[in-house]
Amino acid sequence: MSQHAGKNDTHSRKIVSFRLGNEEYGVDILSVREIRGWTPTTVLPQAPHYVRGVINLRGAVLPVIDLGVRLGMSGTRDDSSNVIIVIEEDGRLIGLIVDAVSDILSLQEDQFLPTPEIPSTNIKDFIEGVATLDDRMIQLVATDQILGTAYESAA
Amino acid sequence: MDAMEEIRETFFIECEELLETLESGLISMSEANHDDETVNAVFRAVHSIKGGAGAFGLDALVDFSHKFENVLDLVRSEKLSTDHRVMDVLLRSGDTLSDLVQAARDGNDAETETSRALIDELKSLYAIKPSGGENESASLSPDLPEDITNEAEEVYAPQPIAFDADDGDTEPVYAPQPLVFDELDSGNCEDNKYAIKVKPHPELYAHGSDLTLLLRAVSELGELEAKVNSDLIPDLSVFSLEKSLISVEQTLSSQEPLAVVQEIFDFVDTECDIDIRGQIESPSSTYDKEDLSDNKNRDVSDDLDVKINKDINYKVNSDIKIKSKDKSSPEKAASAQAPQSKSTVRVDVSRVDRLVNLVGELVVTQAGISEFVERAGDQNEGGANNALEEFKQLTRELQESVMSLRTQPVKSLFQRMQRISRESAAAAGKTVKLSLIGEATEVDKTVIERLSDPLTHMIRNAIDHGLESTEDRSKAGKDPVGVVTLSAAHRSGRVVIDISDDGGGINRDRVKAKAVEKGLVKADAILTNAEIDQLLFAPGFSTAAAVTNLSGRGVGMDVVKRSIQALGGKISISSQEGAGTTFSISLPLTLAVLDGMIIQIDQHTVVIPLTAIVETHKPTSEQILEIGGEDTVLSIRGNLVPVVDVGLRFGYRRGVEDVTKHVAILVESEDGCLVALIVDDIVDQRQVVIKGLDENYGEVQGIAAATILGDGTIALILDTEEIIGAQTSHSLALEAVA
Repeated sequence: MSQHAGKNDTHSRKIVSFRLGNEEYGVDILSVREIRGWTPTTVLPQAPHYVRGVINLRGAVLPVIDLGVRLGMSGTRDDSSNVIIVIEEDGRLIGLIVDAVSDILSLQEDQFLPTPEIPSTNIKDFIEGVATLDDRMIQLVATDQILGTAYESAA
Repeated sequence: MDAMEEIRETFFIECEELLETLESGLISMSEANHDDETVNAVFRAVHSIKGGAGAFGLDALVDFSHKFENVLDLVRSEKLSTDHRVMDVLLRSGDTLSDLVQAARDGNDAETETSRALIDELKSLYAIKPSGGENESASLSPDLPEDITNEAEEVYAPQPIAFDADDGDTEPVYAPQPLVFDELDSGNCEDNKYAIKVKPHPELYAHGSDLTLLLRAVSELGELEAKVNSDLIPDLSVFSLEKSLISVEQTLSSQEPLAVVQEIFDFVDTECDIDIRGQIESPSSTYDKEDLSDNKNRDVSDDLDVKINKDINYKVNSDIKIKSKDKSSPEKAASAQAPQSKSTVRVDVSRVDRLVNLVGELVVTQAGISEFVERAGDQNEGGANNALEEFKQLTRELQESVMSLRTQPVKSLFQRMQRISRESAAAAGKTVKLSLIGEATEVDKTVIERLSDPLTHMIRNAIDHGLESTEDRSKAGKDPVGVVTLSAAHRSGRVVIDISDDGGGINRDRVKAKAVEKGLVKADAILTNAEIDQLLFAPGFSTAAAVTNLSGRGVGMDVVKRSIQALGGKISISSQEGAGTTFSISLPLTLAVLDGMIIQIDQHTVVIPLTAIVETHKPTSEQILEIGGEDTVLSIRGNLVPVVDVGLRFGYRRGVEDVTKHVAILVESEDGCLVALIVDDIVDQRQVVIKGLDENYGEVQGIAAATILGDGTIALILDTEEIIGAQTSHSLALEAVA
């Protein structure tokens, strides 16, 4: 690690890491607007299965996505311990339901690895890379694809 | 945008206002309904445009406004009378000036053919000037009614004009107007006088009402003079606190109609003797509360009966004079008077919108707090509830004032119609007077902007199709001058704009024949008058015998109807053979809120726009018929209406098993298709703030928008058009069987 001492923070990224099931994920802190507690959602008819509904974010209508379902896992349960990470993507606000927020990490560029070649298209579409920290592995979520078809149909 | 561009832009924005002043001033002048200040204002407007145009080197504009100004100067110094011919030139000059300003704004400052021709006409007016002084100029066309003015000195000046006995009457020409306004429930006219007597019973105080508050409410309507009758107050030794001893006589001069004054006393009319008398001549507007109620205290009020007279001087024991607050409600602004410039601040619309949003939030948060307090129970002996109540009042007031920032009087829009009317009348060869009522009525800015095209269409239609030709009018014994009335008024939370003409009315036989010819209806169809009238809105319908260059292209009314509906409005027609046609547009005050019915489906709360709802109905099992095993219809008064189970449609639950345990809400689409929506329960009916879904998400089929309820959760607003469209397209049109 000593050879990077000179570069210091110039190539570091700050990541908000969170838990989803037994795995750890992260999103770039620059896209995170706020983190809020669980609120029951209003279901949208004819929405994709990963869209849990909408909630009131201080007067704005915020779509909430079950990130677990989006990534091909079983969905998070309606649980007051869940949190919603509000991210901004291309001028839109989107809420992501996760199990718990764990950390804010400062990671160096060389700690990132490209997404491994695995057959799951979900992972390839929504994970932009993997970061390693000691014995932890953090999957970085590519936020631009998250809203997916719902987003495209509106754009 | 560089600095110069910015100043230039400001100049053109100012020009818009100046042209508005000019237009309204010229109209007043042509109606002989003006004073010196009107002429001055018109002159100043043209002069300011000239000055600004000079600074930007807009020579054609300067040249034209200079000639225009010269003639106006003659009018101002009373060297040129404002007769019919002069006013015609001035009005057309106003239009041309407006065209030139528009052209200059688009970077095209040049003379046009019209402007050159008008300059010649203006010059010729200048040439007539005072060879023989005032008298001669005034007698340019002494026979025309335009010479009648309401200014006393002109009437008595030694002018060689033969006034009829009627014309010489001191009664101003526009005297009948207040009555017309009163019927329309719109102010905007001379003050009405009211004599109000109130004698409180002891119960009034026992119920916690306060006479002072009533007086204050009355004083907000206008100038109020109140006299307290303290004759009954006895010596202190026999004074009893329990008795009600004073009565109050008030004279109010207000622009409000009688009903508004009565409304103040609505809640206390059993707790005091009230006598409100309007001073308008119309006997129907005199309201004597006492005649309606019991007479037990009649003798008391008889003592107090005062002859109602504008000039009466009340003998007063103690005189309270309450100066009314300067309330700039829409009804208040005088329109017949000379245009006055108001002090304004220009603010970016986006800032106002942000404020509107924030206040919307505040309202929701406040509702949330109220619910919490209610649930928690008040620990502070009503203290929290009282404070909350006050908070609620304040937020409501704040919301109203913020909403009003987005509103504008319809005046500017209406005045643009004057020009449309002039041009259409000239093209159709008819003499038309466009009369405007309720110009001060305020409407959301966006609504005003988007009303311009539909109104233009409708005014043109009214002149082209509505009014008969001048000869036909004379034959029918009507005034050869056709009148088109454009009026605006606030009615139960909506804005109603009426466009009416005094023409021949809808020729329903011709309309039907035309519709049959165009294949819109079957030849043997039996249609009611209302159904025939609705055919006017059918796409591709036009009855004009010949396609004129004004209207008659067949794209008129259906486009009008669609744009009105896009604004959340409704349009209706009423017509009387020989007497004219009225189109009535009803619009929401603002696009930000909507009247909705809050309904419950399973656990879900949904809002249905009230404008779409025809009726609600509890279906019986006999009324539910199954068609083809899959579709259900509701038979209601001989009509078979397709049933839509909203819960199933939205995937909230499986289909309902027994429809009779639910509520059917009949909604109608813009083209008149009916559908019965099956829901569980009706919760409430209220105004909701519209929140777009596509800002952060996207469009959802069947959902128009969302709103935030008092508890902070989101409820979806149904898109009834979409739901009905989807339903009726896959089911056959069902004909009535009964």
